[in-house]
Amino acid sequence: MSVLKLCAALLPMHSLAESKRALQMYRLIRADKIHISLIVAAINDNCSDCALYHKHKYTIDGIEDDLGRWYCVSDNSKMPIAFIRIDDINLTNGVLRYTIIASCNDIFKNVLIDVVRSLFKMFSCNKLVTDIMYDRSEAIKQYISLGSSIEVRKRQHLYTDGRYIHVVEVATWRGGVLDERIIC
Amino acid sequence: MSELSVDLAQVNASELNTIKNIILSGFEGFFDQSSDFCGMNFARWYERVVGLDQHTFSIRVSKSDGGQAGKHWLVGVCGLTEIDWISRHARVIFVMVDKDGHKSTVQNHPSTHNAFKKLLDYAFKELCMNKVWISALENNDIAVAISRYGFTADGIRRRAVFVNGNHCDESIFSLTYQDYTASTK
Repeated sequence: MSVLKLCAALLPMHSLAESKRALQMYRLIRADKIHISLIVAAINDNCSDCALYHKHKYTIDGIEDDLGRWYCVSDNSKMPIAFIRIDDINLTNGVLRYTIIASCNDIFKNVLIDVVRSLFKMFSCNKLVTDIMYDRSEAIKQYISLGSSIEVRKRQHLYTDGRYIHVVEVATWRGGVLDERIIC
Repeated sequence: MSELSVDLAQVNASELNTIKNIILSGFEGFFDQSSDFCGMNFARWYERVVGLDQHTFSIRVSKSDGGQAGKHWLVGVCGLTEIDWISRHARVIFVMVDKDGHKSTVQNHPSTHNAFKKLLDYAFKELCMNKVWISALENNDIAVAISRYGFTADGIRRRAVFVNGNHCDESIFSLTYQDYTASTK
């Protein structure tokens, strides 16, 4: 799947179609082990279509999650190609936790810098933190190439496919090597 | 001859003020100096930890004298939070004061050991957790204190906690079920 030039990196999810696509992606990712970590549904508080999703929790492949704040990454045709969930923002400590999913490594590679840049622009945090499955070496490499670092190796942290797997916690700093590219 | 015994009990509403006072005044915290606590966001920390969660306990020490039941007193709180029921891991919260005033030795105090051991038993035997983890500020000597239970360091979150005007590192330690069974053999 080729990636078109990205339009404004992060957009609130506005339609039921986008939400459904997030769910489809999630299933794909889980089934084919293509990518990153946990994900569930996609929602926008102001969207009447999506409001339906607020009424209950989703349970997908054994993962239940409260509906969080979601954004989609769109290409020029406004087609969502990746999704971001804001898990936690700690203003005291300046740390934002998020989860990113994309349907394949190429997309992930292409959207990562835009995602990081956008998150730093949108939120007043010094540090972005996300979890990545230990065996997603390509994704980890991408982060490392951006100047991110692995801070915690969480042993047996995620139960999937009938086994416990390790997860690494990757941190990206506002004041890191990304600075010149982020502040634009 | 009097004997000290330690029990974990469900936190009840009448104890909340006592717990709050203990933590705020004579606090000698160890094991958990989480970001909320150190960030002076006590209200949030208090609500999360002591908020009548069914997996939060008060730590009570009682002294029996010659077979007679004696007085008991509350010396702290402990529990499990951020429980992931799918992946079966949880964060350990443990705060305790030393009523004897030996704060420098509280980490090695027998009642501390007993309470912490009971909490781990609860996590692994009752809740069937696969892993528990704990965080602490860097330069805290809890690594030594909890290594006896089989905890190992998973990493350090750099400058993750803002406390006293400075960003401090936060260490993460974890104990898997395998570690736990090995340490209890």
